[in-house]
Amino acid sequence: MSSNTHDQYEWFGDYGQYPPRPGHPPQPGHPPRPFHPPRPSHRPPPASPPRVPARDNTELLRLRSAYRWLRRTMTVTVLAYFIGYLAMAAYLPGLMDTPLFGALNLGVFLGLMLIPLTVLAVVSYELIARSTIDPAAHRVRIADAERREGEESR
Amino acid sequence: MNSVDSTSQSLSFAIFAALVSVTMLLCVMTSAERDDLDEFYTGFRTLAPLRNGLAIAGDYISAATVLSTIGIIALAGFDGLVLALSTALSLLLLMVLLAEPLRNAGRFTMGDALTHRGASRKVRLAASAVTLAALLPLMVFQLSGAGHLVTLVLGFEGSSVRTAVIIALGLLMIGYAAIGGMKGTALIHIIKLVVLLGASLLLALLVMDKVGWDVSRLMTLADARSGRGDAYSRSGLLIEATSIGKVDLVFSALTVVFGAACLPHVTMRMFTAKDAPAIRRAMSYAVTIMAVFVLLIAIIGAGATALLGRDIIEAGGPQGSTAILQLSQAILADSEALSTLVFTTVATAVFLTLLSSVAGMILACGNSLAHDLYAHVVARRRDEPSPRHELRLARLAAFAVGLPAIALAVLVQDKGLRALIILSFCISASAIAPALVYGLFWRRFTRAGMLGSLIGGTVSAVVVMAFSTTVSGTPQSLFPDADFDIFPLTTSGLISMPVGFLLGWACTFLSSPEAQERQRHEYAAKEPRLLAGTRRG
Repeated sequence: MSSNTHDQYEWFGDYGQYPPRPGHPPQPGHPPRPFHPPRPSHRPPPASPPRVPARDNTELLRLRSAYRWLRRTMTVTVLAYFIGYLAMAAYLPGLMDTPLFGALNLGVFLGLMLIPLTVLAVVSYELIARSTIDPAAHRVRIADAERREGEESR
Repeated sequence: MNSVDSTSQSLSFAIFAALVSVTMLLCVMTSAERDDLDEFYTGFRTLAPLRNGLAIAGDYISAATVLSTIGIIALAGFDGLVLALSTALSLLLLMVLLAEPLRNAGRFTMGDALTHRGASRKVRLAASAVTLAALLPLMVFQLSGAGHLVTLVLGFEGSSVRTAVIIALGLLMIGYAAIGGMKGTALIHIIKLVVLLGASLLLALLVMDKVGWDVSRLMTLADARSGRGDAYSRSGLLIEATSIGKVDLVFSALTVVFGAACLPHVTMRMFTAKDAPAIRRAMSYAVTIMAVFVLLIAIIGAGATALLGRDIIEAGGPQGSTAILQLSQAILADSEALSTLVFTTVATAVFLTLLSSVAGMILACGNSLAHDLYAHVVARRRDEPSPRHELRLARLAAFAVGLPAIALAVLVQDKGLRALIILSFCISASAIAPALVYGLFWRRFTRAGMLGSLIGGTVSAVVVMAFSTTVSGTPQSLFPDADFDIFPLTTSGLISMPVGFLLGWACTFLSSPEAQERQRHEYAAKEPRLLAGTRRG
């Protein structure tokens, strides 16, 4: 759909180093930590001038590819299963008519299997989005707020 | 269907009357302040995820879905199951593909979401027109269905009484939309969903109890009493399994997958969430509820055939649309008191579903007229109208949309109207789906492409539907005696969906490179908001 060349960022490169989400119950034995993602200004300055001009742009690229990967994977998986199911129903009626449990045939069974699979898709989307997209989106918002502050104080 | 006994009738009447008063009261109590647009259009985006999820599912499960899908499962078996599954997948696709960017891009209406890169009067105009074109057929179908159902349950007879019922119910639905706004209708959707889920669960449990909790026995009975034998649990009863019919079946299901969740009254609910994680959580609830609901209506539909038999269901109404009521009446026939209770519960759930889903659609259309058409197209020479003025207009617009819908429903109340549902889904899948997908994800997508998708998709959907077998040429058609079916298809999706997507693509490529480059810059400027929900500006 969209084409661009400069977002080959490894979005999972720093996976796992984020602090826990807000609202996450604190681990027993540890004091509760407030949710503060690493602020861009706390990082060491880059050795060479960065290829992308603004820091918040890097965060945005990371967020964009995380979103794109999740969106495409989920959409393709869901559509592929369903189109496969439809094609089998329309073009392989003999196979779909194979009895499985008594009078319940394969076609009806696979159809009903879609219901737990839908719930599974919902849960996995929610979990992946929570661990990859939300921290990245949070950092983009912080970078954006800092930029605005800078512009206002100028 | 068999006549309803008088105890059920008086009980139903009392409950319907009580429901109407209580829901209206709730609507007035949650009504928006005088001049707060945000509150009327989105309820301040304060709806908690669980309640929002219930409201989305409530808005999504329209009376058309409940009545006609159960009817199709009862009569066409496997093909009906496929259509029911498509509606669940459609909501899942909305969740994983569109919901979060849509929440960040949009503000109040479809027009806001489509012009998120920069103002465009033409796109606003087209968005408003497509919103109306997609929702009007569904509203007309449900209003005329409401007339049939209420007269049936309450035992009124004659078409003049039915006309009066349609008008009264229509005014009531307009009232919900105009007074309650987004918050009020959300409340009614939540109540409706809880009642509907409860009633469906009760009915499905009773069916499973009747067949001894044995799915195989349910299928055997349904096969035997469907009058079609094994073919009931095989593809081919809804759409004949010819070489064209097979393609038609696949694309009918895909049209529902792409269309059902893109309808404006559903996408409008994305704007009521606080932020992207909140809409994600709300959609999780909504999709899960929808998946469970599909299981329930599959059991109810197959159960209706297994316990009643095809002849009774066909006698009940066109395309089996009263199957759920017939089943609830017959399932505990040996005990009169219990039978009355079950029937009244189900009738109440269906009544609430009809009321709330039409109210939600009137609200979506009214908001689009007031916000897209008036505030951004008509009133552009003066400055934007004051919020107070626009809010008054939004309330009036609910009448401007609702009254023609009532008139149309009265005119067409005696026809078999499944064509109208299909038309709505086709317009949504062919015009709204490409416009949203390209608009949210394609950087260089130009306004010409947007207009091409919206207008081309709508026109091709309407034209192909007009010459399809759903409208003429077969005994099940809207006009069974006429014969102008050029396309041997029941759904226009096979032709109009590719047309909508291709026109969007082609019109973008035919626009000047400068226009494409401009769109790319506008997209880049808006991208932080689209993906991360940063403040506007």
